[in-house]
Amino acid sequence: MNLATRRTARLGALFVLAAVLLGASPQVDRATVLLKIERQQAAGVTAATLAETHGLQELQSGWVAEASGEVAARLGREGVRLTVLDPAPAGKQYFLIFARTPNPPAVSSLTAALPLEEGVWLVAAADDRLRERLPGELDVAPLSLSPPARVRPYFEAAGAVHSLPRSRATDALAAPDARIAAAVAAVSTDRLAATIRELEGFQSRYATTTNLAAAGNYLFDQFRGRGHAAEYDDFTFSSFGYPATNIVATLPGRASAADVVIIGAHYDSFSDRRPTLAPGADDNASGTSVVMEAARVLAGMPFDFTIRFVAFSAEEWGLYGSRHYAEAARQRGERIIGMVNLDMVGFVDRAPEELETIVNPASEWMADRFGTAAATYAPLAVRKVVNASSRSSDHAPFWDAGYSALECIEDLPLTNPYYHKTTDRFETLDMTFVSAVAKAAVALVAELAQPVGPVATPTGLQVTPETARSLFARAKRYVLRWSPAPGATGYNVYRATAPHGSYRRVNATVVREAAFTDAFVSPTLPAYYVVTAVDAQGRESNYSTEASGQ
Amino acid sequence: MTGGGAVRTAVLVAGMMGASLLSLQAQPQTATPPVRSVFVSAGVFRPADAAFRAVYGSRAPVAVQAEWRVAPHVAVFGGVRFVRGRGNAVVETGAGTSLGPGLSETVRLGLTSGRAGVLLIAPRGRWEFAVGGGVTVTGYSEDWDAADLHTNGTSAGWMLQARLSRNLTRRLFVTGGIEYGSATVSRSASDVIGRVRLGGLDALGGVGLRW
Repeated sequence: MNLATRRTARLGALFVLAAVLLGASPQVDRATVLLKIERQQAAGVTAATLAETHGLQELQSGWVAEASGEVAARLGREGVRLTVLDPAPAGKQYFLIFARTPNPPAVSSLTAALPLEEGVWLVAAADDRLRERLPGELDVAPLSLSPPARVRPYFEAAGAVHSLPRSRATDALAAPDARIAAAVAAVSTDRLAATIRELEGFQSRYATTTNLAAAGNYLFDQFRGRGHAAEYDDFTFSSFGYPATNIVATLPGRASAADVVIIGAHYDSFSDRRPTLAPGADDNASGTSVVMEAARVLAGMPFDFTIRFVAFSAEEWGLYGSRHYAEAARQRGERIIGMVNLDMVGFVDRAPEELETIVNPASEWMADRFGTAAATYAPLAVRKVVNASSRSSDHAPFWDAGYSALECIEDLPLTNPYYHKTTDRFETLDMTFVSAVAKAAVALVAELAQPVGPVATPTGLQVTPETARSLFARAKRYVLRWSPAPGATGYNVYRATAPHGSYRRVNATVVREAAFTDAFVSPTLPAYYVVTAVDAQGRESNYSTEASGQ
Repeated sequence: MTGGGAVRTAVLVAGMMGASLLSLQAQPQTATPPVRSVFVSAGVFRPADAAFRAVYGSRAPVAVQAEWRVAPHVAVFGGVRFVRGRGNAVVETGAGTSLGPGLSETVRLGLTSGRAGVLLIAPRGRWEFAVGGGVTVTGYSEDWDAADLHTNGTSAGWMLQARLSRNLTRRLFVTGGIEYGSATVSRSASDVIGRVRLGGLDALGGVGLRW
């Protein structure tokens, strides 16, 4: 199709859309149309309304969906931004073409393709021989018009998984680690499901009930059974002084046990019949099951830094368990590298399918790392949301205590119609999605804790800022000192301008002493450092914990 | 101009003065008192800026000054003064108010001041006392090679001078004195010092010619 033809097609589509919106033709109203729904919805558009469409494919900027003309017209009246891609798609076969490289060749010169967004096109074709006519930078995936069980994540097509555009932190990660990949592969959907069913079996895990105490004992035993040192972290909450308990399991780090990565989820539940029936399968047996599965697959693995697996209590009453834990950690001066909070990771509406990762600005690096870990190890699309006012779960007390923390949640705002109801049951969950979330979470936690490498990781990095000056000029410099690593013959020093960002080596030659002065860095940019040890064979250790002189 | 260049300039001027002296001595003397003079001097410069002293310490300036007696007790003058030196960068501590020990990184400074002004002169036999002041324009440059920081510019200021001279012959005299100069550089940028005082106190001694 040439340019003129494409314009004609677009005009036709717009005309049909106008006809649909005006309700001019009852026949069109009943017919199925192919839509693109923009992600930026007008206020007041409910997920339930969107649910009336049949989502087919998620895009970065929205979704491809089917809907009746009547529904499309109503969505338009409600302020949903949508475009009719084909007013009569029935009987046609569609393909999605998407670019694998940032600057793909012009697709329009090859096919009659309709651009959906940058790097993604829609085309109707008789068969997938279309693929043979396209250059290698483009992929083709069939778009099934029959309503699928759920919308396909962006971008899962033709058996291939295409990650979201990577953030600036992507480059910081090395190639996939075989040990992390093995742990991710060990994640068991059956075990995740079993944990959810077990927790649901307590009928209610409302925080003031003895059922929750029993559930806590169950988790405690499960941690022990996975070979972890587990403990009860008791506290009281509310003006009535209700007793409650966080369940904590610890996998001590080998290089620096004082540096901690936390993966946590609340195990209490809520419903309109909370003391007697609050199954809380999605909220939050799903998140708890991920924590328990992470504890299982990571047990016995040697990591540089400590991993804590925490089941928080009394979240539904006001984040009491996590606040108790985070404040105590702050008072102990605990060095928490990052906290991963899983809260409601099992329900899949048709759109969106991606996992939302909620962070505050200081924790944005965690969402970047999560996205990269998911892209590297797990077939999961992730959407980063930087929103410091999103404080309705156990990550918020960690933010308040000055720690980096990340919330994983299926949708925000929530779309689960069973939320806080007695119908929040296992049967409403999508275990494939839970499993994907668990794999990504395991990958992130393992990445942050760092599997022990061949060379001991340096510890105790301290950074002291200095300002050097001449008569007219001023230059910033940082003096770094760390504890010598056993077996190290030298060290490398890396600097980033954002926390846990893309590190760049700053020493020209291997540093022989456990000290280094990084002179003449930018006086305006912050500097974050890690060091590695190098042994006689030239092998390099993992990064040390990050330190900055800010 | 380098420090060596300044010394060469001073030697050249002194040589010219010597040649002039010899040629003048060969001429028949007249009763007209000399109205023009030029002298070259060197000494010690103590910067007023504490950071200047911390980075470069006291320096040895070289100056050349020419004077023209426009009245029996009044002369106008013009000249040039050179300060060159090497120092070490220092560490700022305590919000930049105190300077830590010097670093190993070398920094190089060049100051070249042009000056012009007026002197009041009081002759007493072979002695002559002069006091006056004027304006200065100072060109400055600093190189911090390790940091790849290079700074240069000009700054206007003023100076005061008090000098005592003694005639050795009708043409030749020696002179010594002090002078105080003030010139301030003000800039705003993230990697530069906002305000730098280039002036300070000089103690100078030298030799000159009159004709």
